[in-house]
Amino acid sequence: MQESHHDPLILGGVELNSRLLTGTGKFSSRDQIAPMLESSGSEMITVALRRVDPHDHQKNILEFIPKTVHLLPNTSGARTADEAVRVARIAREAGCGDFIKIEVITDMTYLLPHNYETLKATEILAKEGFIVLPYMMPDVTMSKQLYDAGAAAVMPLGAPIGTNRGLEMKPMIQMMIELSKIPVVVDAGIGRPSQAAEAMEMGADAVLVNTAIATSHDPSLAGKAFALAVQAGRAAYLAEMAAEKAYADASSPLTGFLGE
Amino acid sequence: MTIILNGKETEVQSQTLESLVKELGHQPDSLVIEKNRTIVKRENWAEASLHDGDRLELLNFVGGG
Repeated sequence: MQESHHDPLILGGVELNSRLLTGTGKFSSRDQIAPMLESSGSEMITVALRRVDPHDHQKNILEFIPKTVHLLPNTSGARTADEAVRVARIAREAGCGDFIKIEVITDMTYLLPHNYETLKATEILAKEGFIVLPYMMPDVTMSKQLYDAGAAAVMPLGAPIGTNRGLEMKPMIQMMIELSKIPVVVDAGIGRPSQAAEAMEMGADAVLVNTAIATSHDPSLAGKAFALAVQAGRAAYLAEMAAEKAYADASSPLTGFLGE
Repeated sequence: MTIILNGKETEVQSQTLESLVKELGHQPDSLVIEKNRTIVKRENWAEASLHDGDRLELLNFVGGG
């Protein structure tokens, strides 16, 4: 499906033509990643940093990602701002570029992000020239603070990571979209393309989908479905759909029907 | 010598990071190394000497969301 007009997503000055960000976690085979990127058209994908497994000498994940796709390393595993900052510096030094998704989590049950540590990490890394995309618990005040701290976008969760429950945080996300001066990327919990479309119709600037695509039966096809949904939702938002009505409003005049 | 490699006390024969990577059988291209909390670029591994008690983090990129 072609874009009807040029409507790029701009993150930290970098133009992306797809508003679907994707992730590399949970694929049953890493060979599925490149075909999924091809069929979805996603231009930015997340990766994580971990200690090498001494018994595992297989190729690292970067070899499965085409060089044309922007890398978005995350700081998953970090429990404090300092740990997130350390991971970000390592990722950049390793040649991943300037993008960093800050993910600081101390809650091991629901994996909800620690907003305060996320803010501290954002302040430090933005000053060091990173393009900071903080994963956060939706909160209008925190969103403003992240903007003031130099974040390039804010990434509120829709629902806890991996739950596929959609926009449980919908009212909070809507408020953030209304008030934010930087792009809002709904990240985590999106389980179906219709939920991605719903986020885009509301005015979200992009969505990040990992689990729903990677754990589907056919990640390439799921990636394509999500891409189409994101395009549909974005077009609907730009088209400005009419409001809901309490009463019926006929499509054709109620008079002038043929008679006796 | 004994170094702390990814949090574990480990006996190693190598004198430099470059030979350590070979000793451990890792692919150099996939690794990122932090020695005593400082990142050591791959081009400097041959000169980076190891000492008893050094703390090394050998890291690589993996799948994640």
